[in-house]
This record gives sequence, C-alpha cells and structure tokens, in this order.
Amino acid sequence: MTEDSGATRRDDDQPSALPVVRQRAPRLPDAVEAPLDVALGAAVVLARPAVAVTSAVGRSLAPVARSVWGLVSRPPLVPERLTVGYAVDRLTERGRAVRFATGEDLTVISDDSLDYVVPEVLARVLDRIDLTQLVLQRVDLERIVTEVLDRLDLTELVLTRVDLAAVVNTAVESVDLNTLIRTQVDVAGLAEEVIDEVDLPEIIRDSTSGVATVIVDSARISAVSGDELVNRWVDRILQRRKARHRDAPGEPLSMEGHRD
Amino acid sequence: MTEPGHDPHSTHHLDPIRPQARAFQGLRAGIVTRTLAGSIDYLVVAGFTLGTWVAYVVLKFLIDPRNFVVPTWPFIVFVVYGYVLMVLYLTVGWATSGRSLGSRLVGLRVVGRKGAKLTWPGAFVRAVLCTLVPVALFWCAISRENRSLQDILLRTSVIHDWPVRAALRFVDAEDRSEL
Repeated sequence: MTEDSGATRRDDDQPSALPVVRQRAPRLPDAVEAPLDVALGAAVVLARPAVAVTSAVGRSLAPVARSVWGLVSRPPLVPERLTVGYAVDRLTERGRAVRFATGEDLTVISDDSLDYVVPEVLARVLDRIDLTQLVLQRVDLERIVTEVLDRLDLTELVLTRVDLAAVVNTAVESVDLNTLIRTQVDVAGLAEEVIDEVDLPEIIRDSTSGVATVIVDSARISAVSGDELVNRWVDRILQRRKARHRDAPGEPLSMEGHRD
Repeated sequence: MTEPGHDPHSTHHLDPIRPQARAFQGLRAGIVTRTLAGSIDYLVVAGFTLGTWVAYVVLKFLIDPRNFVVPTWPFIVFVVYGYVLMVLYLTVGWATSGRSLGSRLVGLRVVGRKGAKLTWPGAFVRAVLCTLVPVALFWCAISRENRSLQDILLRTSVIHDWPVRAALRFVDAEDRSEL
C-alpha cells in the first residue's frame, strides 16, 4: 500500500490480477513432492472402490440390522424402563440438550474469535496486496467522483468550510498589485479618458480662485454689460448706425496665446 | 497631451478666464467699468489720505500725550494732499503694470498708442489730467472709440485685460510649450 510495497511487488514481477506484496512460502523439494503426489494418487484410486463396496454392503444389510437392533433394544416381555432402547433414548435426549447448549457457547466463542482473527487476517491480506494499485485498476474513480460531486453542493461547502477572507488576503499579499496594474492596465489611457470626461479648466478655476474670484468675475461681467447698455442708449440718442470701434492696438496680456 | 489628432485647445487647455469674458478681452472699456475702477481708486486714495491724518494724530499723541489735542487740518490740505497722492498713485500704477488697484480689480489696463505700456512721463501727464479733470472720463460714453478726453489727447486706451493668476499663467505657458 505504500511505496515500499509497490517496489516489492515490482520486484516479484508476477503477472497477477492481484498485486501480491509478499512472496509465498517456499515449496517442497521436488524429490519429496513427486513421490508424495504418486502416493496420494494411488490412495485415491484404491479408496474409491473400497468405499463403493462398503456402501453397497451397508445398504443391503441395513433393514436386517434395523430389525435386529429393534429386537435387542426392546425385547418382548421386558419392562420399558429396563430395556436398552429406553436407556439409549434417554442418553440421546441428554446428549442433544448438551449439544444445543454447547452450540450456543460455541457461537459466542466464534464471535470472540472473529474479533481477533478478522483484523489479523485483514492486516495480512492488506500486506499482501497494493490496495492503491488495486483501486486504480479496478475502481471507476471518475464515476465515483462524478457521483460525489453530483450529490454535494460544492459552492455551499466552500462557503461554509473555507476561510475565504484568509484565502483572498493571502492571494492579495502574494501579488504585487502595483506591478500588476502598471503592466496590465493602460493607466495613461485611463487618465486621458477621465480628464476628457472632466471639465478640468473649470475645476481648476473653481478650486484655485474660490468664491471671491467668482464674485469679482461676475461683477466685471456685469459692469461690461452695463457698458454695452450705456453705449447702446447713447448711440441710439445720437442716432448712430455704425457700431463703435472698440479695437485697441496691441494684444492684451490675458489674450496671449489664446487667439486661434 | 501630445497624442496625434488630439487638440489641446479643446479639453486640456487651462484657461483661467471664463469663455464669456474672452470675447471682450482687448476691447476698449466703456463708461461703467471705468467709472467703477475710478471710484475704487478714489476710495483707495481717500482712505490713504485719511489714514495719513490718523497716523499723524496717533504719532502726535505718542510724542506728547499730556498736551494732546486732536489736530484739525484745513479741508484744502486734504484736497491738495489727496490730489498729489492720486497723481503719484496713478503714475506708478500706469507706468509699471498699466493698472491701478481699481483697474486691476475691474480688469482694465491702460495702454499707449501702439498697445504698449505707458512711459513714466506719459503716465504722469495722464495722471495729472485725470486727477484735475475727472469729468472728462465721461466723454468715453459719447466717443465712438470709447475714449475719454485724456485718451484722445494722449492717444491712450483703456482696455479690458483681466489679470491672470501667476500660477495659472505658468501652467498656461507650459501647456502651450508642448504644442
């Protein structure tokens, strides 16, 4: 079952269905084994006719023997209690009772023995086979895994049994996010998109100049509107038809670089 | 910013001046804005004149508290002193930046005949004329070129030229240099 067992099995190099781990006990020497086999064969050949003859004789003599036994065991005119048959019956009953009692004890004894024997036998069996290899050869593991997965709610199992926070934290700690973002994300493009979406000049104007500047700007624009209003009225009164010539020579400092 | 096909003027150009104010930058200012700027200048000079008198009073009290009496200046002293201050104040403002405090606040600038800054003598003469005949300013409401009598005489102009914040001008220049 372990790697050592596997190595031993490979050393045996036996083409067996069961991957045997330990070598068998050494066989008898050939000089002894061959005569022994001859003797056993002869015994079987001789014993069969003898048994057949004995059985035939026994069958033919059985009715006679039963009649003789009946006469001897219960002779006529002899009280029942004094007959051999009576004594035999009593002994039979006694013996049967003892046998039954012993049988129950034997059952108990056999259970105890199994408790001892089975683990021992199992250990020796397992020592002799490479169970891993056996399972790999004989068991449809794919089917078992599929069946198990079909029965399990794997998502629920992970959610209840796995410390997801620890897993995520470990993953995040092991990854250099800065490098990841720099290599995988188009930061410049992203910044361009954000800047395009945002009205940056307006934000800079608001954040740098503040409320005071907004007020001043509004006042200036109002004053300019006032200029135009006065100019319009004066021009109307003076019945001017041409617009005023307000262009001044040179370029104002605020317009430097702003004329397209 | 320097990507091909990208127009920096459209989105990223940092313009500290509002778009609606862009339209009249460089044009000669009208009567309302110039009166507003002049009023602010008058307030500044008047405040300075009064401040001078207060400083004089405090100084007098500190020197001789026992015999202290609030000094009284004849009104003509205030007027003359105020006029002199006004001339100096306007001369310095127009000859250096082209703006007095009032002009800076309202967003105006005084320029010469070619759009350049006034010289010191030019600024002084204009300051004297403006201080002595302030009413001549109102001619700009009638003038076709929005010019006061001093402007016509000295061939100067008062234009809308909003002061741009130094920081934003720096960013602005940097932005343009990338073009």
